[in-house]
This record gives sequence, structure tokens and C-alpha cells, in this order.
Amino acid sequence: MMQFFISPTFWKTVLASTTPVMLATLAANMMTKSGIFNLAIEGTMLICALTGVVASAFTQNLWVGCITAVLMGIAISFVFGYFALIMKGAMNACGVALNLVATGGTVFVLVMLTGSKANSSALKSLTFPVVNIPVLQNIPVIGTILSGHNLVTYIAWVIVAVTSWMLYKTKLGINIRAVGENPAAAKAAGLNVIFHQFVALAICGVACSFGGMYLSMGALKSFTTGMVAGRGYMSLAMDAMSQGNPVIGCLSSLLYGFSDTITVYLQLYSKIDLKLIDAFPYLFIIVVLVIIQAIRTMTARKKEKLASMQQAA
Amino acid sequence: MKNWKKFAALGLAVVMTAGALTGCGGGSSSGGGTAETTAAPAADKTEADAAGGETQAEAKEDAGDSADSGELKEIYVFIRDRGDLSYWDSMAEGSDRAVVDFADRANVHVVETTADIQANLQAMYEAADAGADLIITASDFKDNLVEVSNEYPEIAFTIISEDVIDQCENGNVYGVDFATAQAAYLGGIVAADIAANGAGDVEASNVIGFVGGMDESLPIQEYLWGYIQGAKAYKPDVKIVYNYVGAWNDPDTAKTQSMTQYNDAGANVIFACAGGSGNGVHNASAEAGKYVLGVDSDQSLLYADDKAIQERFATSVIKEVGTAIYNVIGQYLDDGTLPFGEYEIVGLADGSVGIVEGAALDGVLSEEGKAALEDAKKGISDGSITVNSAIGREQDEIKAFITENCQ
Repeated sequence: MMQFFISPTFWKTVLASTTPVMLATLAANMMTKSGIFNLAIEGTMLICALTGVVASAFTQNLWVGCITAVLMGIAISFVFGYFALIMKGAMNACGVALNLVATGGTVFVLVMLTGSKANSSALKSLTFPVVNIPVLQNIPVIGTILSGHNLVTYIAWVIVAVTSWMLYKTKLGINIRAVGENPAAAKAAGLNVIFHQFVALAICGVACSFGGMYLSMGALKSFTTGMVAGRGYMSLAMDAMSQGNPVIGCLSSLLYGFSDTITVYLQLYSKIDLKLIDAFPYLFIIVVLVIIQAIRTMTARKKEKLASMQQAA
Repeated sequence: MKNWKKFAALGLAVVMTAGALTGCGGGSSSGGGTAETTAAPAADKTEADAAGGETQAEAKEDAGDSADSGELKEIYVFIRDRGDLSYWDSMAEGSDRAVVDFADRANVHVVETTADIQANLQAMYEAADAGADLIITASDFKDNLVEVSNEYPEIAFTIISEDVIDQCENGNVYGVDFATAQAAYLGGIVAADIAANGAGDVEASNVIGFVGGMDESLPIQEYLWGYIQGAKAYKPDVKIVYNYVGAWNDPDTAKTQSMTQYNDAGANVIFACAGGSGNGVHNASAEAGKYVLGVDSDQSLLYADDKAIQERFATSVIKEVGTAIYNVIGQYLDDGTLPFGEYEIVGLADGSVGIVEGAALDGVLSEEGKAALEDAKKGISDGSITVNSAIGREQDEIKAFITENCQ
């Protein structure tokens, strides 16, 4: 029953279904690191998914479509930033508001353009190509797993790598983290808090837009109403797991991709009750979260003990 | 008179807005899973549409009034948002036909609300208070219909796809349902034939697949039930694999599941019964180079611009909800009444269900398959072949049948 674990297509599927969640998690990581609570990731992804489809359909140019969607992602994040940071609105309320705008607004635009409330297949939109990596694709197993993914999947890996390098190795990244840890201290040190938070928002927007485009222009060829289907919210859980670290965020979204894919195979190859299988990814993540949190508290306590012992000595 | 109508339209718009807003707040309590997260916020937008649609209907009604001020019946059809290219669109299409064809005898109002049950209920009360003669609605809104019909004994009601006749106390409700299992039976034969004999560049594998939107959804199970019977009748040793997406709007998961069925389980054909998620199955069929069956309406028409997907449609299993509504309205206008208290099941013999035939289907079927299909059609119509229906059965029984016959 469990022989699918050794099947390379299984692992390839894991990587594919990880992609949108990984990008969303990266967006959430950026937000945590810069001290913003952004619920609007789901909505931003949805809007960008539609923007990419519409822009590429009207210009018949994939890259114009891609750049329009990226700019849209940044714009939506800035709208959030304007209300949440400059107007000092409640962040969770702003996030929910944007999500509502996204669910309703995308349908509205879709109906205006295609007459359908469900699907954009009437629009001749373009899709990102599948990339076969030379040399690598000829290696058995590894080639099947790593090569032949959609371009966005590779872009996602690059974005995660660049962002984590930026966060930990550049001045800008360190400043962003400082702003997130303690805005008052950062301000006292002469940092422009709002500016750094908006830079983080821009990166969040870019990640969201690729996450959305992966769904509507990568894995699938058209936009479907509500197609993000909770991946943006899942990313908040992944973010809680990784506490803002993009590399751990990437790993935890792989964990999600794994548990999500396993449900597909379990449905096919096991007799376990469907309700249980459907709940599996979420249960799995809760369990992992609990374990991680337990380890964290344990190490924190140990450190405390150590510190007090040193003081006593 | 006209002022009063404007007032009514305005009132309805206000009520719907309020309904939509309360819907947003209470969304989490109605239903479960991912579907509801989009359903509630979607109210935001469609509320405007619904109000717009209603004003249009009112305008039409005014025109009708001036043309003929005789006894016009007020008929209301409550549907969920158009654009799903299956169930509700089919209903909308049939109602739109009725609006034009019966304009001399009735004002048919097509009222579009969202999935929000509360908004629909308020709209239905409005219609009942505005002097409706016949109210028609379907599936999701069954509880609303029961509630309103129990309060308005003088209004006639028709419910599609849900047997709630027992809960209605006034004997003013008529029910119509579809023996979609009969159509899915034909779909099963098509799928089993492609699996057994191969078609085009697809080699025989003897495995067929099914992707459903949600588990324990009766219309979906009805399709699967018929599909299994048809496939097994044609080829008793055919292997059937199935998945449920768990959401009506998650095409990416649906695509993952179908790719697994095509590539790992070796399915040659997948019957996509998954609402908006079905799009993922269609995409997967083109990527895997295998076949797919559409559902509810001829879904290959969706991909007029994308031949790579369109040519992967062997056929679509269709349910003519629109025709049924049109017929109910016609019957009501002709006879002035309906067979209240009955729950009628229409099927292949009435032309209410079937599969799309044509060059695409002929291209994938073997001679043997074509003959079997014709025999099945004849047999089901004259009653010599009985296709069991999932309607009216217990969940345990349905599930036992499915697990017994599928892998």
C-alpha cells in the first residue's frame, strides 16, 4: 500500500503542490519579520491570479502579464500598508476587508470580461512554460523529481533563496528585522520604520503574485473563482511554524505539500475513511506545530535555568 | 402601480444588501470546508447583480403589463449565481427561455441570489408577499422553500433535486428530480470502452477514474453510482479509482488528483464531477494526453479556444435542469396546477438526461462500444435495463456500494 513513497512522480507532485503555499509562506515570513500581521495574503494571491490571466490575454505577452500581476501584487500590499500602517487601522480588519474585496471583486471583473462567474476559459490567456533542465533531466529518479516543473516553481525557489539571503546578509534585511523586532528602538536608531515596512510589503506582494500566477497561469490554464482555496491562510500556519525564517518556512511548506499529496494517494490506495484523510494535512500540521512549540519552550526554559545558574555562580 | 413596483424593487435591493451583509457575518456557521469561505464573501458582489437582475425583470414585467393587462401569473425562479456552466446555468437558461416564450401568459422572474441561504430566504419572502403564484427553486434552497411554503398555502411551489415533500404541510409543493444515474450509466460504458480498447493514441489499460467535488453530496454520488453500474455492465473486470477534491473551487488539488489517477493508477478516462474544481481535471487530461468526461452540460464548449483540452473530451453527461423547469412552468400555465405532493423522477426516456453525442464520441468508441451504448439507451428507455439510483438511499449503503466496486 505504501509503495508510492518510492515513486518519483509522488515526490514531483509534492514539489508542485508545495509551490503556491511556499510563495505564500514567504510572503507571510516577510510580514512577520517586519512586524506586520497581514491576513490579506489570500486575497492578494487571488487578485494577482486574475490580473495575470487578464493582462496576458489582452496583451498576448506572457511577460507583460507577469509584470502587471507583480505590480498589482505590490499595489494591493501597499493599499494594505496605507490603511494598516499609515492610517493605523486594525491590521486584521484591513486584511479581512481586502480578502472580501478580492473574492467579490475578482468575480465582478471576471463577469465583466467573460460573462462567466466561474471560469476565465473564455479568455485566451498565456501560461508559464514547463522547464526541462538539461543534463539533470536525464538522471533517473532525481531528474523526474526535480526537472520538468513549471517555471514558476523554479522562480519560487530563487525568490526564497534571494529573500533569505537579503534578510540575513544585507543591511536592508537587518534593518527590516530590526523594525519588526522593536519599531521604537529602530526609530530611535534613526531607521525609517514605515519605509522598511513598505519594502517588506513589496516583497510580500511579489511573492503573493507569483503564488497566484502559479495557480492560474502555471498549474492551470485559466482562472477559477476562489481558486486559491485557503492556501493563503495555510501560509499563516506555516509562518507560525517557521517564526519568520524563510528557509524553515520553505521546509514547512514542503511538509504541507507532502501531507497534501499523501491524501491524494491515500484516497486511491487505502480504505481509510475519507473524512479522516481530508483532515490529515491539517491534523499533521497541528501536531508538528505542537511539537515544535514544545521543543521551543523546553529550550527556552533550559536557557533560563542556565542563565540563573550562571548568575547564582 | 409603477411607483409601487419601484418601491418593491428598491426594498428588495435593500433587503438583499442586508442579507448579503448578515451573510458575511454568519458565513462560518453555514456549511463547512473551504467552499463556504468564498461563498459568503461572494455575496458582497452578487447582491448588486441580484438587485440589478430583479430591476430588469421588473422592467420586463412593466412591458408585459402594458401589452396585456389580463390575468398574468407571477412566476419566480430562484437560482444561485450564473456562470457555473453547469447546474445553475442550465436552470437559468431554461428560465430565460420561459421568460420569452410564456410572456403572454406569465411574468417569469429569474431571481439570482448567492449561495447565501439567508439572502435567498428573504428574497423568497419578498416574492411571496409580492403576490407570487408559483415559486421554483432547487437543491441548496430546499429549507427556505419548506419554510415559505408552510406559511403561504395559496402559492404553488416546485423544488428541483431535493425531496422535501414530506416536510411541507400544505400540499402545495411539487418535486422534480433527475435519474442522472441513467446518463452516468452511459458515461460509464463510454469510459469502460476507452479503457478496454484504447482510443487514438491512448492504449488500453482497463482502468477508469472519477473525481468528485465533495464526499456525501447526493448529486455527485448519483453520478458515481450510475457510472460504476455502466462500466461494470460493459466490462465486469474494469478497475475504477476515485478521489474527492473536498472543495468546489480548488482546481489545483483536482489536477493533482487527476494526474495521479492518469499516471500512477493508469486511468484512461476520468469523469470530472467537481463543479469549479473540474477545470483542474480538464487541464490534467490535456497534460496527460488521456480522456475526460464533462458533467451537467456540454463542457467541451468551454474550451473553444483551447483545442488541446477540447479534443480530450470524450463526451459530457448532461442533466437538462433548464428543460425540466421550462416544462414545469408550461404545465402550470396549461393546467393551472401541478401534481402537488408528488416527487417525480425524470430520466433518459423523457430526454431530461443523456450524454453528448457526435464526432468526438464516435472517434473514441470501438464498434463494440457503440453497439453497447445503443443497446443501453434503448434498454433504459423501455425499462428492460434498470439503473439503480442513489436517490433515497442511506449514506452507508451508497458508500458500501462504492467501496465494494472501486479500488
